[in-house]
Amino acid sequence: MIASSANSVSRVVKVGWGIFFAASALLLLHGLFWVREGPQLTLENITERTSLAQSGFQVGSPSAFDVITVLARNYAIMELALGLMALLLAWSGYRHGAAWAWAASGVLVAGLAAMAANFVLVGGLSGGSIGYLVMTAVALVGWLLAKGG
Amino acid sequence: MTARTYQDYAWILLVFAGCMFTFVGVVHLISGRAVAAGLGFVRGNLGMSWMELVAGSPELADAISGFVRMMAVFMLGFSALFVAMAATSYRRGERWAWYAAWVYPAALLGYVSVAGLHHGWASGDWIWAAPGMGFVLALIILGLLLPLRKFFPKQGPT
Repeated sequence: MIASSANSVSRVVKVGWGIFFAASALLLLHGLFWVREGPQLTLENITERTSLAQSGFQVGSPSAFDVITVLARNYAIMELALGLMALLLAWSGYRHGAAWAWAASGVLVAGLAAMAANFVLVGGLSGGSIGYLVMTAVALVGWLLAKGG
Repeated sequence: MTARTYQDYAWILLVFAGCMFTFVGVVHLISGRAVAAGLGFVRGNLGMSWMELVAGSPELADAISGFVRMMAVFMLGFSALFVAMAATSYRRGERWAWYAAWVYPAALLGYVSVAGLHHGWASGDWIWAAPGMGFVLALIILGLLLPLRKFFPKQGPT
């Protein structure tokens, strides 16, 4: 009975790390997507929320569009870096179940939650905010399940 | 100091580099406006001072500083994971941590490349980042190369 309980806990922890790995992979994929599509999507988001007209923005303010493009790609790089680091951490946690890896992974959950909250507060429920909410939920479930390690 | 000392304490260089990134992230988060105003490529591209942009297009200024803050959240997350990994797995000599540590210099080079590729290397738009990033890059590379034998020991004769 005791032996089977220990095995089931171990399986739950592994499942948790696997789910966390999936959330990290989602973040990584989103970063890849954002490298390409981020500048245009950011521009659309800004013009939706402000009085700036998208149609004239790129032509009338090419330098401002340049600034947004560079910032959007920098944001994507940061997402890629965080997603990759979290992915490697989850893989290590899956293999060794180290307590420090679990504690550090909470940072990803907190970061995703902060980003989701920011998107919801600024733009309400939209494609972007829903995406971050889903990633946050998946990461949180995985993180909580992995706690037993 | 012996070669063994360099191997055993190289992780401190990575922790220090990670803490510097944390500091930069905190600055970005506390004042997205101040950071946006200080960014050389923003000033250079818009052809106006930050205060002129705030006066002329406050919505655009807000959007730019908001972006800086969003990046800061991820910067803080990344630096926290990096420091935790450097202080534990890297310090113990786990090989996956050595490979993972390369994400940091790759991200820094990515930042410089975005500015350089977007505007052309001759424009010099990437130069504003060079001194600070160069210093951090040197720290990390040193921290990665010094303990090379620890992570990849020579195979002795069998």
